[in-house]
Amino acid sequence: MIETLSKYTPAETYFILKEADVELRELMKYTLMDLLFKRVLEMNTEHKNESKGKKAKVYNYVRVGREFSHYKPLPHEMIYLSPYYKSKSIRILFQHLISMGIQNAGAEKKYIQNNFLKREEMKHFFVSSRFAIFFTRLNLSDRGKAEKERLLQALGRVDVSLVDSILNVTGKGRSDVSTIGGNIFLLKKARSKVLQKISYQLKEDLQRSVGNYDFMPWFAFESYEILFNTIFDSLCSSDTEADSGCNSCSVCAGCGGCS
Amino acid sequence: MTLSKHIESEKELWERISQFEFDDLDSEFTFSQRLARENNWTLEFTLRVLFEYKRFIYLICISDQPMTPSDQVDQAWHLHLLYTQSYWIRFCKETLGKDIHHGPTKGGKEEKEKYRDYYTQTKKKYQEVFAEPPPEDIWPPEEIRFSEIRFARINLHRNWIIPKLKRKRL
Repeated sequence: MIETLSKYTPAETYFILKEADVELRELMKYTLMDLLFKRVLEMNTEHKNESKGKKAKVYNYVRVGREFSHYKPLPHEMIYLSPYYKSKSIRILFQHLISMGIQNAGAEKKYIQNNFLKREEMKHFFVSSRFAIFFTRLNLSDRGKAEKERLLQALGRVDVSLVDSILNVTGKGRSDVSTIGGNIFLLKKARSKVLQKISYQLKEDLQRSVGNYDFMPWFAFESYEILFNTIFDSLCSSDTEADSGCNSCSVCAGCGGCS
Repeated sequence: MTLSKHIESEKELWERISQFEFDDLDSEFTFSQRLARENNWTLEFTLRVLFEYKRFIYLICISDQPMTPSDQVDQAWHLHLLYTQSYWIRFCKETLGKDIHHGPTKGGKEEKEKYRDYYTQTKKKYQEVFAEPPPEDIWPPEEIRFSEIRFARINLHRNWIIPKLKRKRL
C-alpha cells in the first residue's frame, strides 16, 4: 500500500490531494524541501562579520548535495536545479534560491500546466476538457479520485506505523522512510519525530564527510520550512521597484563619489 | 570546485573569494537585485554572472598576464566598483589582499585587437584552471563579445524596448 507514495514527490502527492485548492507556495516549498531531503541539494550556514563590533549575520547557502550528480530531475524541480546544472560549483543564498524559484516558476497556472498536468503519470488523473485546461480548473477524473484515495490511505497508515517505529529507525521504520521519501513532509503525527531523526543523521554524515561543517540545529527540516514561508511571504509582498539609486543610498553621504 | 592546477595558497585564495558575499541581508534592495534590474537579467542568470565574476577575479589574482572579462562579467565588476566599501575594503583589501584596478579601453583598432587577444587568453586560462570551459551564455565567442557592444541607458518610464528580429548566427 505505501508503495503508492514512492511513485510521487511530495509536491505531486500534495497536487493530487488538493486538486483545485493547490497553492503555488506549497508546491514550491515541498519541491525544495524534498530536494534537500534527498540530498540533491544541501544547505549550510555561515556567520559573517561585516565590520568589527557589529553582530555577525547568519547566511544560509544552498549548493549541490552528494546525490546531485546521479539524480534525474523532474520538470517541476528545475525551477531550483537549473543554475546548478549550468554551474555545478555555485552556491546560492537560500532567499535568492526561493526568489529565483518564484521567477522561474512564473505564473501559478503556467507552472502547474507545464510541470504537473503535462506529465504522463499525472495527466489521466485530471479532467482535461478544453474549458478545464484554459482556466486550469483542477478536477480529478475517476482514476484521479481512486489514486487520491490510495494516497490518503497510505499516508494514514504510514503515519501511525512510523510513530511507533521511528524512535529506533531500524528495520521497518527505516524501510518505510526510504519508501515514502519526501512525502514525510505530508504526514501529520510522525512528521516531526521522523524529521528530527533524519536531521541528526544528516548532520553526522556531513560532519564526517566535510569536516567542520556548520549546520542548522537538529530540527533542520522544520527550520527550513519556517524560513521558506517567511522568505516566500516577504518576497511576494515586497516592491523592489521602490529603490531608485543613490538618493536612498546612505553610503554615498560620506564618500563624496556621488555628489 | 575542481581546480586543475593550483598551489595551496591559491586554493585558500579561491576559498576566500568563493565565500565573499555581495549582498547585505538587511538591505531591501540587494546588490544582486540591482545588477539584475539594471541589466534586465533574471535572478538566476545574475547569480551565475556573479559566480563567473568571482572566477574572473581569481584568474586575475593568480595570473601574470592581463585578463579581459566578458561584457556580462564586466557589468558585475562595474557595479561592484560603485559599492566602494564592499569593493575596496572587504573584497580587495580583506579578501584578495591586493588592489585590483579596472582599466577601460582607450579605443582604436590596436586596442580592440589587444583586448580581443586578452579575452581569448582569459578563456583559455579559465579552462586550464577550472577544468571546464567557460559557459557560453556568460562568456560568448570573440566575434559576439567584440561586436555586440552598443549599449545605452534607457528611461523605461518614457520608452518601450522592441527587440530587432534575431540575426542568424554564423
